Amino acid sequence: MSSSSDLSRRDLLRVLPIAATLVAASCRRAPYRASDFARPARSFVGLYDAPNYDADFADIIGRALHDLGLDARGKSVLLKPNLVEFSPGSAINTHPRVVGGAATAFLRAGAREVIVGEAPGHRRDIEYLLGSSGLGDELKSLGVPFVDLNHDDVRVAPLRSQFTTMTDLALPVTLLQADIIVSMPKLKTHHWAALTASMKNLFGVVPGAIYGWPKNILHLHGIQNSILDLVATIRPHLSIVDAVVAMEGDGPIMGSPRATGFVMMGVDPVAVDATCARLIGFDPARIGYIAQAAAFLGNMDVSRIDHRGEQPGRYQTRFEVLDQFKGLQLTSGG
Amino acid sequence: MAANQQVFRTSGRPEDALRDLLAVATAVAGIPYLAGKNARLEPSAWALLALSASSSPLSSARPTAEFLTAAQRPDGWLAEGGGWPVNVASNALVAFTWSVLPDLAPQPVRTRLLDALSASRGIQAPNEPHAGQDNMLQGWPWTDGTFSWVEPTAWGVLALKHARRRGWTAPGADARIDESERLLLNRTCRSGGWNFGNAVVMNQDLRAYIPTTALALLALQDRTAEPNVARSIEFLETHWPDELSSTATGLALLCLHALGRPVDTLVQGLRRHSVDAPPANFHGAAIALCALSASSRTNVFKL
Repeated sequence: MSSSSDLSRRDLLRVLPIAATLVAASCRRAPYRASDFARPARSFVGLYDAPNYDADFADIIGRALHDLGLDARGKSVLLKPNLVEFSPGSAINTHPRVVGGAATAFLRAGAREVIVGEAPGHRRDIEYLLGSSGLGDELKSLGVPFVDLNHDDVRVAPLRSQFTTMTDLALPVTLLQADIIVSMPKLKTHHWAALTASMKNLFGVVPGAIYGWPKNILHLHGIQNSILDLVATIRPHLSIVDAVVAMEGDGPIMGSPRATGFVMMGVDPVAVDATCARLIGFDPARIGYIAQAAAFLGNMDVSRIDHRGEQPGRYQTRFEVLDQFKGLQLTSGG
Repeated sequence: MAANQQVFRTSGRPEDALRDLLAVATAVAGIPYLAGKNARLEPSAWALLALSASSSPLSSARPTAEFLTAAQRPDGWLAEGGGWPVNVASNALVAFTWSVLPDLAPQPVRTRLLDALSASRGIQAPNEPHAGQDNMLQGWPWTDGTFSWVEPTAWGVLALKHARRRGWTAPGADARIDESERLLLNRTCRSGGWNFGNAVVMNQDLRAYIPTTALALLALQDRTAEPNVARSIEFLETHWPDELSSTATGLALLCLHALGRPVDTLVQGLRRHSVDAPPANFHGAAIALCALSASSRTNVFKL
């Protein structure tokens, strides 16, 4: 078990993704088999107005499910919100009312069961997180169960791409058994990945009781590479982004709340994340994992994305970002 | 577990309900984290510690004890499943449990685990200017090939210290304890207490958490003259009400009791919490029982 390294943590975070890419390149082999993936010709992204958390999210999300043509009848649904940490007055987590609204909408749409599950990456004390965040009370009032994915049973699943050098990961059985997996992130800046939305949210399915807190193995393999392998393997069926109040600056924990007033939904996580990026002033083509995902998982190019609900221009803004990410921003306001 | 809420409300004392719950579960097999799931090392070890602390006879918990010994590989580590990495923190907790309760495992089994633990360490990294921490120090990682973190390091220190007091020795063990203590002291947050890893990231001071602070202080309970330890005790005594849960409040109670600090308010807080919000998992139930038993019976964490 013992080992040592001459690299610093920061060096490792920088070098390992590059090394993985170089290894892949030297083998002249793509990190995925193209025939395993079918990028849609076009992707729909729904934008829905929600000025605050008093909005009727069950109605909003129910309308969006209809707009997007997602059939939940008879299906088991896993809602995976972001519940990474709690700090009073912050905008770290997916708001409980959005999660509750999604659960209600799926049940109204005929889902056989709805489960909410999360494997928080900063905290392992789920009792504290559910109580302090208000999510526990919200779910209790709806009779919707919560599964602590950090401590769930696991099964080893082969990774469907090899952007990292990992070949498989132990993943929660609750996740692997769900018919419909819904990534429900809070829209935030991220001090390592620039942006966290639908795809980065999938870090929160990797079980801490296997890999620890944080999921250090994913950082060592490169955050962007790990995001790609997780999305390629899990392939969420739907994304519901809580951007009613988002986070700018030094996200994903210590940034500032920023009212943005919308919920975004789509079945293509790449299109959803690319649209999120544009709306807060990033060029998605400059965010490595979005650009790479657009090569095989989904659509980033605005010409391939059709909007439902509100038009994006209504919410266009420019977030405060850390200095190292200013180069990823769009050169003009939108 | 949620179905037990009525039991907790009607029971005279929450520790009675917790003890009954764990006694029934440990008599069948190993304990899972969540009801209906597969047995795991950590909740199983915690359940045995809790039953022992509450003076329950461990003879009926033999299936859980056997689950732990059966999980040992030839290299000394306990594995939970094929294809998963070894969880070092869970192994260190089992090593501590076996040191506290040596009748649960034969001596060679206990020694093999302690030797494996003593020989393992997190990966090392050169120091960075202005990082505010010494990356050369090596405690314990969660899994092989990753950095050292507070929780596995605290469990490693506790296990080796306890075993050393029971007469176990291994080449380099004292040095492992010493370096790991220095790592914990080096990672103390500015406020006192511990986050789960670094105290500072990207020039931002990180918050200390109650569970990690309590675990680190348990590991450093014989180092109270250290200024960082004294500051962290003060942090824990002030801030434990900020994070009420079976785990956080239970660990805070175990820690402050082991340090000889007043705990009456904590006991009342944990009792009240156990009735209002019964533990969501076996792990939390066992920590709560261990903690409530500490003040009235035995604190198994006092070195």
